[in-house]
Amino acid sequence: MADSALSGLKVVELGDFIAAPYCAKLMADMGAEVIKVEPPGGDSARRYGPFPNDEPHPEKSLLFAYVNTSKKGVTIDVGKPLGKRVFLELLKDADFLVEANPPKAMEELGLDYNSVKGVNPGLIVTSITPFGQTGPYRDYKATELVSFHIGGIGYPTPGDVDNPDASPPMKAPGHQADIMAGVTAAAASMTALFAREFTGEGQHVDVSEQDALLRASGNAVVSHMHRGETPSRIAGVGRPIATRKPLPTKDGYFTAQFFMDHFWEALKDVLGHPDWMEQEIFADRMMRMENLDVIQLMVEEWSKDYTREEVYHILQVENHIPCLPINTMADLFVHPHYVERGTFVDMEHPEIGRFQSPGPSYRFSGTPWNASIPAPTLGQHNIDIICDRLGYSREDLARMRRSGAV
Amino acid sequence: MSKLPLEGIRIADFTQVVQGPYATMLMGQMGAEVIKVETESRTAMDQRMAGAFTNLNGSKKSITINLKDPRGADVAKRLVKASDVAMENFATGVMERFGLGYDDLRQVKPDIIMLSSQALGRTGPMKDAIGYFAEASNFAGFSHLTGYREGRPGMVGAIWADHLTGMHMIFAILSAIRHHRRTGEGQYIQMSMAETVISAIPEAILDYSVNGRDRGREENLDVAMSPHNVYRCQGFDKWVAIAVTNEEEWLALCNATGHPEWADDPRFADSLSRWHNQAELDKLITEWTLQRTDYEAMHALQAAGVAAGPVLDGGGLSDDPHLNERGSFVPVGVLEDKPFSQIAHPWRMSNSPTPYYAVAPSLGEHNRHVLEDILGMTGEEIDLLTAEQVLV
Repeated sequence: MADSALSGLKVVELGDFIAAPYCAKLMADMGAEVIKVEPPGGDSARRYGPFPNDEPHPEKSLLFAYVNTSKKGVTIDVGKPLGKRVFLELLKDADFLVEANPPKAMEELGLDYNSVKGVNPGLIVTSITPFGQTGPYRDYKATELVSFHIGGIGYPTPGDVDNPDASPPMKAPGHQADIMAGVTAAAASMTALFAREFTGEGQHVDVSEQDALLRASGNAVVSHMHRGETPSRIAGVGRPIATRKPLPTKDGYFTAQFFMDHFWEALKDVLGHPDWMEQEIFADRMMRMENLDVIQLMVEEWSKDYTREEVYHILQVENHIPCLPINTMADLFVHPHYVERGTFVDMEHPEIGRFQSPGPSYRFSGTPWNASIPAPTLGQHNIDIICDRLGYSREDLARMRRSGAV
Repeated sequence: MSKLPLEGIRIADFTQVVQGPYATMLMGQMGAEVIKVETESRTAMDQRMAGAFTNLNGSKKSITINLKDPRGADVAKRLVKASDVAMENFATGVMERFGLGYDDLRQVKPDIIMLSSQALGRTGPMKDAIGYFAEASNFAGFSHLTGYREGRPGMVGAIWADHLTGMHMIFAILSAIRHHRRTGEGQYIQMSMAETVISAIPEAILDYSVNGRDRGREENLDVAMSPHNVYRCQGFDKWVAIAVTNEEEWLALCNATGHPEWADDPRFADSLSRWHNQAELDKLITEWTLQRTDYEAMHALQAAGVAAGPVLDGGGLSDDPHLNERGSFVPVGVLEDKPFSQIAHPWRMSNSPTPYYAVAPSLGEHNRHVLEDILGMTGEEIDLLTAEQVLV
């Protein structure tokens, strides 16, 4: 296999939990060298599960193992003068610093962009924060829950609600705001790399989680600005963005898209051309969208007597209507489609053992994607990086350790 | 400062709906020349409603080619030959039927970088399945985890899977261009929206993979934090999200809400007790939030060092003072006689020019420019192919 797409690029990561680590993981799995800098107490994802058999252990967090593949790990306390000195030495020949710390904290540490660019003018600093580097909320705190909801995705979720007081806005599963911020930061970092080809200089890239989610809320904002409608999770209020309602079968749920002309005609064939489908309220695509609740109710009457697989076969395979079943976790790992594609890859981890993990989001024909190097144990590469790379003696490393700097 | 980062990169954009158009628009805003290939018969897919269309197709050029006509496919090949990147998200096999599959395009441009993205990918027994963000999210297990614990699964109220996939596309394309600049080699990138979604929910996937536990729907709750929820505020359907991550923040919340006694209540004395008694705690917090607007609650808690923020809807985002001060809405022109603001590019760069913002092109607006100036076709050739319904 050829060189990796990002081989030769050097990334220093000073983040925590998911957003910055996920950004750096995307780059590391694609061949960049990533040095993950953790505080001596370790990244907080090490304390966040899930853990095998629910036994917490700093080297057994499955979340940490997932978002930190292919990296080298060092422990440095950048708040100590000696730690800061070692950290700045790491930045000297780096292409990227990916960090996710409060802007004020970086300024107080003397590690803000204006301070570090003196060390390496070509350095690209990508900062991921809840609200960005400017504006009135710059120094406000957020977690996944807050970011998700202030980014506008939670309000219309999960849809089809009758009593909004009893059915609050919902966040999406897992840490979607952090993941979106992470992949946005990876795309942004690569863009800055191309800018450097023109200028020879690095720059500061400001990734705000709220802005990243605002872009994904685009349809809601446009709907408000242009039609004065705000998409909502309340049934019948605003034009919904997620028009599909999960419909029941004998063994679970599915969704399908019925309102486009050719799908509507195909649905008539499936249901045997009943009279109700010829009513004026279903005459065109926009009217069908308006009256989707009626359509879905009628389809539900039909689908409840079939299994998910049967519904998929009749609607999608035989009639080319976009329709897929809602898989549960148990369905995923044994599904023939995912098995044949190798969607889940085997990971071998020194503490966790062998486990199946999500594979890549893309497959390149010419360059490898490789996540087989497990996440580093705490301080695993201190000697490799601080002694062998930066040239400190083992005795000095021991001195650093004693001072708490590493 | 003079050049945008992606200037000099030309993208032949055969994508439609959301994920592909979103990715190419963001690259267009960063300076890439994006040539959107459209057909009159395909416009319904792209919902050419002015606002929604510009929201995903600003900063591009539009040409119309009937790809079903072999002469149209030939024009498309000439476009690819003049481009660095080709992207498409038709159902599996459609590009091949046009004679525009990777193997065809490689003949005319050996170092082309091509990206294909389908709901479930281009291999496997269900490679022909069509689906949009909802269906891809279903098949990924994501919908199963979304919504309220009781009743049916729910849907995320945004076109989430497309935006997530679109952002991964940009990273993938730029990685491939970087490889091309070093080696001169192009390549073929294949994506599956369902697999992108799977890669974004590692907690639930790995909990099942290792522990055999299906987490189901976790709503707004966290595995350990409490308080951690959305709370009703003054006004119709207004809510504030509050998350307390440690003891210091817990004490700050007690003081900021004027309830220092909560800290001494044995039900809430430590994080574990709070987690187990969070329903009662949430009721008490709601008594406080109901006396305030969502923004008042946020500012009061943030002043004390507690993470909090209003649950914003489309209008709330448009009006949010922080987003407006950051320049997150950019006036780009007039659409349907109304001033139109584009949502800003999702990242800011300190040392590159302002992103290139423009309203979406009209259908075929750049036919002449692209076909003559870029592909070197003559006016007669273009007129003939237009008259014969090839360039429509």
